[in-house]
Amino acid sequence: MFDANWAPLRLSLQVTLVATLLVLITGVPLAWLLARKRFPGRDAVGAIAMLPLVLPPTVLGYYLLVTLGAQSPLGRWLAAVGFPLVFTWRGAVIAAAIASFPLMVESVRTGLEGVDPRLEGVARTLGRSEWAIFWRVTLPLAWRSIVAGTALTFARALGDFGATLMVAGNIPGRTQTMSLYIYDLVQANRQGEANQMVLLITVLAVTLLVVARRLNRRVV
Amino acid sequence: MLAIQIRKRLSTFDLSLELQAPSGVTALFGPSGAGKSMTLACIAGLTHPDAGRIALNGFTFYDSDARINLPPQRRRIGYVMQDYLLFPHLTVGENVAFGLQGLSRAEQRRTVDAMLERVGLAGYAQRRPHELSGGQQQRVALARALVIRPHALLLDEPFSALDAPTRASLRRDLLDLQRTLALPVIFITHDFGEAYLLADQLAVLVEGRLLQCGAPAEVVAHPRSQDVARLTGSRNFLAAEVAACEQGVLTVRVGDVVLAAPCASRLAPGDRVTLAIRPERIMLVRKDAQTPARRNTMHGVIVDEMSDGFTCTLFLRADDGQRLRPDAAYDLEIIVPVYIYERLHIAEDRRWAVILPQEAMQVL
Repeated sequence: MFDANWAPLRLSLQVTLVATLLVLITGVPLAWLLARKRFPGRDAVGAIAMLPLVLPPTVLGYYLLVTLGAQSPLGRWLAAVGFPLVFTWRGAVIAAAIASFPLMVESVRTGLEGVDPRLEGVARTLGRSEWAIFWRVTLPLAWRSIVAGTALTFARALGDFGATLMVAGNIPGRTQTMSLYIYDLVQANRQGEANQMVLLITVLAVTLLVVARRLNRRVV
Repeated sequence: MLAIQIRKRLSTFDLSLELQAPSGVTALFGPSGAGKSMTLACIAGLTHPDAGRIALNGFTFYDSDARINLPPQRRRIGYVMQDYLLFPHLTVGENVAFGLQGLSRAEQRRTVDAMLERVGLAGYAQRRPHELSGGQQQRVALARALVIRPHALLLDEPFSALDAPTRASLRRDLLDLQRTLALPVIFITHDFGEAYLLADQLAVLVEGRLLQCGAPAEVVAHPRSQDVARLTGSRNFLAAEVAACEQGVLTVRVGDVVLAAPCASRLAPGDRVTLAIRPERIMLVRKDAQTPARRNTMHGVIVDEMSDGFTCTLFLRADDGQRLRPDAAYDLEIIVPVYIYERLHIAEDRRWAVILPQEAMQVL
């Protein structure tokens, strides 16, 4: 156990943490817009946000590869400014973030919709700014759904395989995350090491799921 | 003075009303779904009408022509909604302090404590909303609305979710409060007794239209339509034909009989009108009374009755030849207090003479 290769675990945690943070700061505002605002194209935006949940991960990864790769203007620009995404750990972050994005949006949107908008209305009549109302009324009443969404996002990002493989590849020490490493171990018939890693990931994922469910259940 | 003139298209009808609410209590009274809550939401600025004008003490909140629509934050209107809507994650004190801005912590605390004391909840600042009874939650909601020193106060069905004793005590408190506040208070109710008890001005709203507005006693005495008469407690709607209208007395033919009614508007013989008779103003004549036969006296039998514990409703079927509604099972609904019912032994004695005084009659 002690001579195991820990680099994939370290990389996985790094990628997952950054991806979760990214999803948190983009997903919560989008969830708020979807839950509280009426704007043209709202349904379309909601549907697109859900897309990564239904697309095969390889297809998702392929889209990302095409969008961010060296053949696309965006990819060329990213390479030119010294921030290439494809086949780097940052690419793995993007893949994991996009794959887990719908879980955050859905969880937080449901949580925000559970906050009675009339409470926000009362707060308005009491003279408080929209910003203050969000921080003092909406967010405290929906925070469980945000924590739950974060746990789900973390678990999904940690487990991503297909999209990461397409965008970041499977480069040991650079983009080889846990999921990819386990695949390699099994392919190489190193059952013992694979078992350790599988157990580790399973315990982590189940823990996160329990946390998420506990919090979500208490969301009124 | 709160001046409202709004139009708003709703799903099943158009809300369209014009109302002036001076300092004092205005009851917005009408059946559920008449547009009452929508009206308050427009005044508070939580939604806006399609067109119109809303101004408080000459200060315009909303004007569709001038494209003015102030956000609720800038209207300073105390708004207590149905279900009170306290912030469940904050303490009572934090709820009340929610609208206080720009005060030091000590001042804020002092203000909140004073306000809680005023609504009878001194010492409750640290409690959570879910630990309070409905009546206490309502008081907190009121304190939270009053602490911002509003220029008008809106109350949406403030008493409907409370048990009867709590309701009675809170109604008294509201009357006391109103005397010290001197600002326009608009409250919604579908309970006529409550509207009559609390209101200086009664505004009857049905399906988005203001049917009548005035002092409660005035609206009750002179309803302008059958809807208003019905909502303000009148019963006994009788089809009548004008026989004569002379010297302030209207003579009408109703069923088999001729009755004298107050002559309000210009009516000509042959005109068809509806006569409404308030059930609590019909007089039962004591058996031992030696009064000579009076006008509008009828004889009949009580064929049915029901009681709500305070009053008894009697259903009187007039003798043949004196029927007001020859095709119906009974002619008059009469309401008497329970003690009168007992003192007159109405339970045993079913034959009665009744007098229909002119002040009981409304010609519509």
